[in-house]
Amino acid sequence: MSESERHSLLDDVSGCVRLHQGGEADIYLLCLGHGERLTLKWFQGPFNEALVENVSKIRDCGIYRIREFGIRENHPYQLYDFIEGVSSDSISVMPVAIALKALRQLVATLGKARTAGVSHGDLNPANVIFSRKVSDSAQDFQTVLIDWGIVGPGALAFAAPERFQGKPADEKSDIFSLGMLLYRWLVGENLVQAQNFDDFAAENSKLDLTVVSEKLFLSGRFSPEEISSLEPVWRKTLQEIPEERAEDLEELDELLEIALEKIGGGEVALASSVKKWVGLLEPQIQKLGQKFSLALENPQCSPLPFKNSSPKIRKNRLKYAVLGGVGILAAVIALLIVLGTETPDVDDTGELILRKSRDLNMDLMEESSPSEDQVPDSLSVNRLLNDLPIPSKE
Amino acid sequence: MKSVWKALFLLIFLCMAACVDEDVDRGNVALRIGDYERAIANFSKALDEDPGHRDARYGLALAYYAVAEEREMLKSSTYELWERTVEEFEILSRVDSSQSINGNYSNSLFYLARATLAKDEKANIMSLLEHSIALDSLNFFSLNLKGLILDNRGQVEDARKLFVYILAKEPKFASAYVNLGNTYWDEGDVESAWDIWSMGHEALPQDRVLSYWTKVAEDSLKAMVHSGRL
Repeated sequence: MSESERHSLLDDVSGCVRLHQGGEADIYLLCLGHGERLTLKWFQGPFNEALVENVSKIRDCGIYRIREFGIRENHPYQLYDFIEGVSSDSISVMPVAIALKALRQLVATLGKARTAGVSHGDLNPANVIFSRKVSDSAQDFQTVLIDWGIVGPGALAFAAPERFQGKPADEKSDIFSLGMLLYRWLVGENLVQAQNFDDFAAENSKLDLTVVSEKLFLSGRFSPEEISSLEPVWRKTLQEIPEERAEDLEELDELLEIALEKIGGGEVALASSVKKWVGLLEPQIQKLGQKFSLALENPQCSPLPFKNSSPKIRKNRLKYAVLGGVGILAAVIALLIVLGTETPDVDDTGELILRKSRDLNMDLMEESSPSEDQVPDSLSVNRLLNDLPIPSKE
Repeated sequence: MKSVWKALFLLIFLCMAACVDEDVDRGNVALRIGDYERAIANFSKALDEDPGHRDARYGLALAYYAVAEEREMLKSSTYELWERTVEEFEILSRVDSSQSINGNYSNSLFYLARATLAKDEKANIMSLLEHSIALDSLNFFSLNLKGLILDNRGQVEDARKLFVYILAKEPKFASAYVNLGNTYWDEGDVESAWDIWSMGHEALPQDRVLSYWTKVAEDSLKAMVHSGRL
């Protein structure tokens, strides 16, 4: 693997804010060195990498742009462009026309994905982001589908019955989930509310469509026309048996289009509703953006879930390592020079000379000669003293 | 501009200081390996640049000392050499107020005293010895020579005190035993002389002189006993 292949955007992170913790994954907002913002989904378990790879090749404004995915420090992760928008999870209810328009966008996106051979498999409000549509001069919104590649049935309240049986996600299962999602958007609560997997599996399999319309009616927020216009949609989505659902996404889109035409009151009225909706959405998006910006600017921002080695840090580390190395080398060289060329100073030499001079074996001792006349004749004192160190005549 | 000149002068000063230190280092190395002429040349060069350089001055004095001491081994005249050495130490003492030079300075004075005496046996070297002892009260060589001079002058008791002092401080100083024993021998006190020499012989059994004179005194004592004088 070449160096460029090994390089990860995660190594360029300069700031981090944790957006969500727990569940299948922790979600972080990352800021790269050059200011770009990305979303990191740090999974606790595996995801369908093949599917994600296919999704990453799809260029559609309704699908998040996956920048990188893989495994780091034994954690699967996805890194995608941060979407400036609001998760539909945080929106309590939305007008029928807006919900239908948003759902049509999702259907279009899923249709493109289907062409690429992939289905989402986890359509739920948390995975749909409402953002501003920037390409249009008119005010509009754009739904963006995130979190592809789920392993398992996905959010249980939105999962098709066959998904509870372990079947893979497909067009039909996504159609079911879209029906559940539409209900949630309209009513503000999930159609099925259960406690565990089995209950969800059972409840999702025996949905009574009349009850759905009844609930809408009882909420008091929907006109009879709206309720009746939506009935074909429920009929073609919330069916236990896949074959009884819309044949494909195209058919569902047609149903949604019809319903929208009936409820939306024409293009002008719809555009007005959308404008009003975007006007409500806009402050929320700005507020979130400011909140994240402040969080990223906070020096005590969230710790990264992985070991960071951003270029700045790496550069600094490299700089410190080089400086440290050079310093140590210089110190070693200096030490070697000092030790290798160290000469004792003049005082040391003086001490050495003094010790040598004061050595008692040296010829410095002066001895007097005992008087000759008192020495026995057999001894010649002078002769003996002549061999002694000078002076001999003190 | 002014600061540039200051920096330049500082730089030049630092370079000169570095050069002087290099000369001193070279002189010191030469001195330690016995290349005394080169040592003298390097220390002199350093002193030409900085006459008050303490290490250069001390190095030069030590180099002169080493040359003179080397000549001392050849038993040739060393008076001029020691005179030069002492002069250098005298100058050094004006630039070095520390005590570190005292030992060698004291030794130089002793050597000069001895060389003076060798040149003229009537010369008065007491002031040199006093100076030497003042610099280093444990210079036993100077004390020993002073004792000999005192003994020669008839100040026998003073001489003995010095020899006893030396032996109290340094029991291996053989010459003090010999000289102290001689003071008694000269007075005919063979018994006391034998006591001192035999004590020295016991402390330094390898010393040829002490061994000899111990034997001489012992024989004298025996002769005196046989002759009935003891």
